[in-house]
Amino acid sequence: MSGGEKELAGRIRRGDPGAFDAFFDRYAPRLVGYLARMVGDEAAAEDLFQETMIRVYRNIGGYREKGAFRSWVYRIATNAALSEIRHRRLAPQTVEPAILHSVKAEGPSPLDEVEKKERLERLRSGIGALPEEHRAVLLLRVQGEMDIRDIARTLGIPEGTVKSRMHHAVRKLRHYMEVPSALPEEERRHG
Amino acid sequence: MDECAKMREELIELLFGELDDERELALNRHLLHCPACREEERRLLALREDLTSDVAVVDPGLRTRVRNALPGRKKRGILETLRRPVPAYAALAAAVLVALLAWELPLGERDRGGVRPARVAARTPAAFVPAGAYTTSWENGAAGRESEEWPTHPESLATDSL
Repeated sequence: MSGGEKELAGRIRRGDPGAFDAFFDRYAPRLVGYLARMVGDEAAAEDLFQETMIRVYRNIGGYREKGAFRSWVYRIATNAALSEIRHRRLAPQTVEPAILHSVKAEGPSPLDEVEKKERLERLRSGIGALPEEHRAVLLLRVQGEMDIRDIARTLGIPEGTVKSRMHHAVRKLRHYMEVPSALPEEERRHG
Repeated sequence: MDECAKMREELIELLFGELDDERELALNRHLLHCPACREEERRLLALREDLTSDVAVVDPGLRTRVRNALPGRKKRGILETLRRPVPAYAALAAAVLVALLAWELPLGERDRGGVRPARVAARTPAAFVPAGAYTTSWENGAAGRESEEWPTHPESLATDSL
């Protein structure tokens, strides 16, 4: 665990008033994005982020420093997201374009922008159509910036399983981006 | 599995997972002489870039909403409220009120020729007072309740698990 994360966990445990902002600034952008992609709903993602922070604060006493704090936080968030998905029994939907804004590359032409927007919409649709367990692995890698070991620890699964799920998710998405009509299984099932 | 199929799996490993140096070297050798796999690499790189560049913009109000929802912001208990410092103007107002009452009551009674209630109470036979009539909220335990400030006993809380 990095020194900053260890220190942050300690500050939350001690009830340091500044810990809230430190945690929020460090985690909110990526974690809200991760949750939005997981559940396919921005409002729900913000509620889940709030729920995650409450659980972090409430359970910090049970957190052991031998594990990475970030993994622990993402594990709580993933639990909350999976619980929400199961509860609502809704197909993950495409996130509204206004909700997740892509980082603009320097000097793109309007045509580039339109193409990129379309590509991202297709991408989000493809992510939403992946099975939850594959989606979680992929998003933890690209949104959570975790390595295979951290993902395995976060989800409580073997590293080999993480790799196979990652391969499956990337292959499916890659294919979907090339052939949008080839809807992944989940999307077809939920219409 | 032919060599290209194997190398495309390695490409995923390289771009989205981890690939050891030896396998990465073999992959690079293959890419040097295989345009089809280089094209696959280009598409996977574009996919990875799209995935990583699509970040959320957090609603500015979220910070306040979450802060207000945290468990540490629960209502204060009675004892904690009593322990809070009293503002000077409130203390002054209370002192003035007490002084007025102390001055007004005896005068009013003297004018009316009445008897001060405290003396009446002192002359009331003890047996006349119903049992428990003068028990206070302190005896009832109301003041003994503690606030629900976080953390109470963090060690007793279970850690989430999948």
